[in-house]
Amino acid sequence: MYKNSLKNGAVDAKLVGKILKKVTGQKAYGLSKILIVYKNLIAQKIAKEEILVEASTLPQLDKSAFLKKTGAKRIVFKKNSDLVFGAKIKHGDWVWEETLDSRLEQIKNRS
Amino acid sequence: MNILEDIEKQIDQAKFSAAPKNVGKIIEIGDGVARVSGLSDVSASEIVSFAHGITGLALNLEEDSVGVIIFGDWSKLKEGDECQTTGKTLEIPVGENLIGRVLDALGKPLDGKGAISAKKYYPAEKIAPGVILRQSVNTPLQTGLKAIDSMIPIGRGQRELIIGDRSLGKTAICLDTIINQKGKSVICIYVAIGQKTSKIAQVVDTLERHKAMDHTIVVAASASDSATMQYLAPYAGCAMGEYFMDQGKDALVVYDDLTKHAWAYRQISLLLKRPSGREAYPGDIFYLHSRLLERAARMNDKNGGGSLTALPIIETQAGDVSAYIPTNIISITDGQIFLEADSFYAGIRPAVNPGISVSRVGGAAQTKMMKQVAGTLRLDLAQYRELATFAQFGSDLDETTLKRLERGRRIVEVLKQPQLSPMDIASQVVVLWAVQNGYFDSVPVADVAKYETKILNLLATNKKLRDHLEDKKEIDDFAEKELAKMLSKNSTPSAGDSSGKALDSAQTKSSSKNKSARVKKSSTGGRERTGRTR
Repeated sequence: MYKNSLKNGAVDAKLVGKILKKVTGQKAYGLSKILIVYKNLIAQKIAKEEILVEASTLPQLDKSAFLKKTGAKRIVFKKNSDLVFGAKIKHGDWVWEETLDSRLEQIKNRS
Repeated sequence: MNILEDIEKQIDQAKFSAAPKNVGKIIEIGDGVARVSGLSDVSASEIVSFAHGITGLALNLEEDSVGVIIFGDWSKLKEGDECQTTGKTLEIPVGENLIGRVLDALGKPLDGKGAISAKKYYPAEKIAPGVILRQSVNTPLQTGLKAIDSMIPIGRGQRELIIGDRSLGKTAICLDTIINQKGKSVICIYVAIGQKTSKIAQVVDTLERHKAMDHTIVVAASASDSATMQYLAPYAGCAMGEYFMDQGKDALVVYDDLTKHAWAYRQISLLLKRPSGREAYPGDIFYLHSRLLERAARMNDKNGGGSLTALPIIETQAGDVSAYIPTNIISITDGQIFLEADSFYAGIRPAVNPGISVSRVGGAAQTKMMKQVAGTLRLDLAQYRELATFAQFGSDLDETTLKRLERGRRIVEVLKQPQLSPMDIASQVVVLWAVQNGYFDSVPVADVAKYETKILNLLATNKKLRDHLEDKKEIDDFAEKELAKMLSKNSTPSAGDSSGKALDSAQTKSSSKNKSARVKKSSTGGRERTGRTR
């Protein structure tokens, strides 16, 4: 189900819709569990296609180079004034954080 | 202002790194097990950290999620909470400062005696030492119990299983062994798995009263602790013991008991939705215990010469030693001590069945003097048991058979021992020598204990003999002469000595009844010249 939902390595919404319609129509045993696992796999894949950049002020980035390097399809910028300085970049299940909170955390862990 | 400038300077000078973190999100949590999505970079048995300082262990690495068992209070966590990998495996604090403390499975103190500042950490899971690093077991670990040290000797570095139904004295044997290690440079670790908290408290109190906590660490994962902690506790105890082994010292670890450890692992595996096998245990239940027990070893001199002895305990149901978990552990260990309910309730305590108990190390873990007196003990007892069954039918028995029965009864009496009274090796040898050489033959069975006490008192005053035995560790001609002299003297009762009178009167009665049946006393157990009564 998951492999058939991809087109050129990315999740295709139309394909996902078709697969869901077919599977729910069959009313297979354990359908809810199948759908939960399918949802988690699709969500993980979508998370890898998107880079979330969170900062107090929106940075200037060479988007195309960034996307080429990470293999993602798009960058989403989010303004978060709580971060004070620095940025938090999330790509899939990887997070790079260089903010005031992370520095204080590193100082705390060292002590 | 200076303080603020200092802080700013510290922050400016500090080197920071934007190292990537691998994160995940809880999608399901309950009963101490969390299912987490993400964590694509997590390793098996890696520590995962959650909010509120809670940590867990990643056990199930599946295609779409990771199964994590939680240490601590999982009720603070909820669906959607984030977690991250730490890059570390589970490590347990080890060191001399743990001695005398009561800890949980993560090494945190439970006794209220303050925090533990560990200088070193050992991994909870470790590959057992290889063949080349080991040497054969050849040093005895004295339990202080006559029945065990004579017939089922345990060596340092051995794994000896203690198996029996509930309340037959399994823990008592282990406590006696721990108490007997006082002054013998053996560090003891008692791991309580799934026990009642009141029982653990009782054990700690017993050890404290006998000054045994000075060389003991207690690791407690009681019945009220989570299955995760009960699963980890034996590995934590083993890691603590390995530290001492690596220092070239001897350590003893008691796992009380592995049946409950298996139950805890079964619970965790079922919650992690692992496929279940026989009796709902997971497929790797054997490996759970084999990798734990294989870590007990005697290291060769090049690698420190230390040892870790393991005494796992298994509780059977209705004496069924052919059940799944007991047979697993029996096949792993280097011998087993079976405790029988029939013997226990007949007053034979420790209720060891010497017929089916075995130590695969055997005489290699016995001193020469013990081998000299205990050589035929098992056989004598086996013959006695067979004859006792036969004698129940009430047929007339010949003189030899009667003597064997009487000797057997006295051996059984001598092997009884009160709880928490371990005996040193010299005392054991002297008592067993006395019974094997017929010095108990004319003592009424009911007075055997008193006569034994008398012999021990005599030995306590005979420093020359005691020192000779402790020094030479064998019964040579001198020791035999001294023993014969000491025990022959005792055959004359002193004033007010009822046991001596009983012995004297018993000897008089027996000599007048059986003039033709004289027993020649010798060190090999006696060559008897008897005449048939018919």
